[in-house]
Amino acid sequence: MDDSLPTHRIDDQATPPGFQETPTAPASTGTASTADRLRAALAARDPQAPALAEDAMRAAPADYDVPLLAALIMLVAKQPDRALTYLKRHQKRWVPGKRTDLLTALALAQQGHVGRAGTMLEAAGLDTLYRAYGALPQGVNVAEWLGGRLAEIARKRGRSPPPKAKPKPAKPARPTPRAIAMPAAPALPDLPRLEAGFTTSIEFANADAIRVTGDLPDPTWFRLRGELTQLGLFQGFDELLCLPLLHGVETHWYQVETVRKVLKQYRGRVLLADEVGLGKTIEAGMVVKEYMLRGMAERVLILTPASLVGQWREEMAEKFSIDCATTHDKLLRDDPAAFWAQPRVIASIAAARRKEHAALLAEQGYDVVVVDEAHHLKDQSSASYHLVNRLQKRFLLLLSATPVQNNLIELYNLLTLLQPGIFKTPKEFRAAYMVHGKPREPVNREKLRDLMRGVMVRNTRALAALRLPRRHAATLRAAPEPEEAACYRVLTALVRDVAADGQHRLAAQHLLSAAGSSPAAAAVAIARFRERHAPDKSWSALQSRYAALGAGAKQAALLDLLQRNPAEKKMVFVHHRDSLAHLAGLLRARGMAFATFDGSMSGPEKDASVAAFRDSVPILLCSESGGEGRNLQFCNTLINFDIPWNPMAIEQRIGRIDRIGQVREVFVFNLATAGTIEDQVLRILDEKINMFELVVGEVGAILGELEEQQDFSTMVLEAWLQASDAARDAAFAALEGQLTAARRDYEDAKQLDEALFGNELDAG
Amino acid sequence: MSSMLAEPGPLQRFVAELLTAEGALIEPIEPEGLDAVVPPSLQQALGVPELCRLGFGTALPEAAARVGIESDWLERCARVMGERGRWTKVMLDASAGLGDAEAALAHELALDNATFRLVAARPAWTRYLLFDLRYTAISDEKRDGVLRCIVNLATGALPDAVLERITPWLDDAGTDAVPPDSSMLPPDWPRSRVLDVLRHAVPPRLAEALAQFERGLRRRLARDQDRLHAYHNDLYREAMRRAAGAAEGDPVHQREQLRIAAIGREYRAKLDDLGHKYALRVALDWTRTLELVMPVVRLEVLVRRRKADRTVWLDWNRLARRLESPPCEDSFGPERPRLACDDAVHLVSAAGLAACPGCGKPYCRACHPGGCPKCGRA
Repeated sequence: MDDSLPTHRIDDQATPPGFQETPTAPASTGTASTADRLRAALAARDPQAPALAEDAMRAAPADYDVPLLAALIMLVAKQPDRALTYLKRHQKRWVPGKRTDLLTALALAQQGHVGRAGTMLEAAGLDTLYRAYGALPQGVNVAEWLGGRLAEIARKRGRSPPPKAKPKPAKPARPTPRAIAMPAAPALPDLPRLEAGFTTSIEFANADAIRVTGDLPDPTWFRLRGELTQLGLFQGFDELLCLPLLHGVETHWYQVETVRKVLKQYRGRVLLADEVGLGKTIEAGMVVKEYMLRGMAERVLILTPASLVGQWREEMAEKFSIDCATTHDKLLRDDPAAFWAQPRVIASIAAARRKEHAALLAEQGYDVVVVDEAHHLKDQSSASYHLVNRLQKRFLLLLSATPVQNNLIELYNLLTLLQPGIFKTPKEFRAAYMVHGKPREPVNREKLRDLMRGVMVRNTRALAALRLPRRHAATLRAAPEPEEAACYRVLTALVRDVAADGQHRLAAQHLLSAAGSSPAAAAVAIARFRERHAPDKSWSALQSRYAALGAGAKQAALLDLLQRNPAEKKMVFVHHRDSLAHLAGLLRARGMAFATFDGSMSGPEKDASVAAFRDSVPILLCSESGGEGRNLQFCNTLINFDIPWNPMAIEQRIGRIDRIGQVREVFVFNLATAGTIEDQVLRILDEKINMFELVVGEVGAILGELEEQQDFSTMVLEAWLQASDAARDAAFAALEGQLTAARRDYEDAKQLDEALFGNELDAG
Repeated sequence: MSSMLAEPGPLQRFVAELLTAEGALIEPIEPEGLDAVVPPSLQQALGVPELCRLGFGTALPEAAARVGIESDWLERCARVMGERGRWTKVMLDASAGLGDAEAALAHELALDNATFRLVAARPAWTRYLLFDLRYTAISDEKRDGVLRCIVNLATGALPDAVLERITPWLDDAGTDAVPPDSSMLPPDWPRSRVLDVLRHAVPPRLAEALAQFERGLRRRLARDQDRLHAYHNDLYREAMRRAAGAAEGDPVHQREQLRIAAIGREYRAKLDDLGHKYALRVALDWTRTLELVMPVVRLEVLVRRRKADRTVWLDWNRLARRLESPPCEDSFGPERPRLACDDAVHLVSAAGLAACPGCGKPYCRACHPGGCPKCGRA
């Protein structure tokens, strides 16, 4: 990262004329980048600049310059809190440097912490205008404003701080406070800062008993004593039994600390509110496993959004060796009573809250209940809340990265589930903690945090020292040959016909998805469809046309990518097995070395593939399960040969290499044939939620609300299958609107939670 | 045992072995239980009847008594165990040879201010003492663990790296192997010497084991300090503002001055409280000692300094295939010695030969453990 000081010369002519009142250019200037628009707004001192900055932070939070420029705009607009929020976000992705130091110091000064600001500037060597100017974000020219701020800091540090209350008109200078200041530091406006002593003492409890020799060796009793000592460590949860029994889990210290705290301090009732991507699921799984190993839990219920049931089942089985029944099982429909009587169940919360199931659930007793995406319980009058409230449970783990979305009363509701009575009645909570008419603003933040400390853990990426690498994503839209485009049009029309009455939806999805992957996959998918559903001859003709196509439009783009920078390792994700086989044949024919990794392989075969990829071959062709549970951080390039319609699946692919331990920049290439559903899906995800710039885990958080009723891929299919082009465009426009709103809601909730919880509720 | 029975957990395994060692008859039952016929002495110590059924899982076998880690069963087991199992002796044999002794020595020993040369390398035997120490660290939180310390009685080395490599073999080490003639083994150390080495060697190793724990509590301490300062700073500035508004000699001015002094006092008192809250106290409890007899290759090395030279012996462990570093004769810590002192050619780390903070003259802490020979500063 380049955070070096630019070598600008400051002279009178280069000094900007200051902010003008002239309106700035509109935000949508076409080719101008987001950062350039911010620079323009800053240069013109546009009154709309703060709003533009907010939009820019939503649109391009991962851009290096955008958060810095947005923070600077907020400082110019005298909104230091927002500036600090943006700087914090910048620091989550980038190593802090002089730019962040300068802007942070200016924000602190605006908040009244002039002493800290001055110290920070001095420490960073930014206490002169020349140096500070060089540390401004590149391309901005606010020397006059900056000079004023630095002079103000210097002036205020030299005398007593201004009163906190509303500013008063200038008064005659008062006598200096030198005569009445504390003797230790009469000239300083701040209370001199002292450090508490930190002492360590070690006491040998039984040094006299230490034996250095003996007569008769006694290995049995010696071993038993060792075991007794180890078992003693497990008392009180200081040592975790579960750690050696986890599979494919790379545990981090903050996760272990969190689990310890949950077990010891919170006694199994806690809101786990870690920031996205820090592994709340792993923490919850460890807690469940620990309780089971200690014989403290037998019956476990995990409630989760429907779209995550499968993922939870897999993780619990593979990582924690805990097999669970799920609401996908047939038994739920055949015999609900028997289904819910099972000791370990992962349930879609939507299914569980249905009246007939909720009644059965209420009769069961559970040792541990886990609720994923627990912000769905924010409303006390909702069926989900009633369900969890009525459950008979000993330990309760609520998981949410954004527990408070709109109103502090949501926090009351969640924490009251964990510790009934913690905040007394809603009325008392409102009176004690909420500003009247401002439901998002706490009256006494510190007191609220003190209470939350007893029921909530929130680890942040800053605590975990998690610096995610910069990610670059590019979408390559391959123009299809006329015959391939024609085949796709015919397929779309045929699929619309067969799915018109609401039937064959799964088949329709599979056919279109296969055609978006490769002609080879399309031909095989059509053949299978014909076998099962015996449709008319037009399907047969289409199958022949696809079979005759051979290479699809994306093939050339893939080969081009693979041949560039040949020494760099590249993972190629292919959803459709027939496409995978086709590509394997193609690479083999061209003499390109590669390894494969797919779900049908045994564990040792997968290990061998990953080893070959790491040590000898530059390409790994893999299915959706590619690299699961393996360390692949040695690779930093990922190619999505085909695009799953489910964004979570795309995110999981990215997460294979963009994870803790990846130190290089990550490159993601998406291949799509123009005019296909995948093309449309990529456009929506890229433009509306900036999917490829999100931290792994955030997609799920954004789609959470949207997918309450229907998953994203179904929505895409529904839109695509509209009868007319106009109806299709309208359906996609509606979907885009929903996504944009979901992203905005998520960002709002994230900001609110950051402000509310800060970084004082972590497990460290 | 039926092959259909589930794999017992660690507690069940331990209790079964303990009962068996004490002469009880046991039979595993499902789910996660044991039926036992217990001799009278054990009945009393464990507080169970002659025919008892014990359950270890969440679901208990019918009429079983629950045995859990969080119950008092570990104390009962400790009572049964008494002082047994505190010491044993095992032998580990290994035949690997040392190919290039010079290269091994050059790899392991690096002295910045002295030269050394290999005089001889010959097969030998050594005795290690391995001490298991349970530690309990208490600050605002608690952390328990077991620290293992190893001492080579032939060379005085504290080879942590070798310990790491041989640990997997220790469980299978036998007592029935034929030991070498006692004349080939290094003699016992006086107990006081062993304790002295442990007193030096344990603190730095303990600090390593508790590093993460200490980082966490220092972070919490820093956070509390910030909060404390912010609170008192607000009070202080408010009082300063009011005092500045009144003329000197004015009662308001005097009152605010007193208030400012009181704020300072309270701030310091609260900081003291924080210091007490986060003070780290570690209690060490020796649990057992293992005497390990092993074949080694012993290297005789001549270390030469300007005014003197000295012969040191280093062992190459045949199982770990690694040469043991000499200990820092000042700290006995995990870091390798890098320097040799002038007079006695003690091998020490940089801190062991650092300048005296009083007079600035470097001196060897191994020669002068009491303090600087020039100015006397400890």
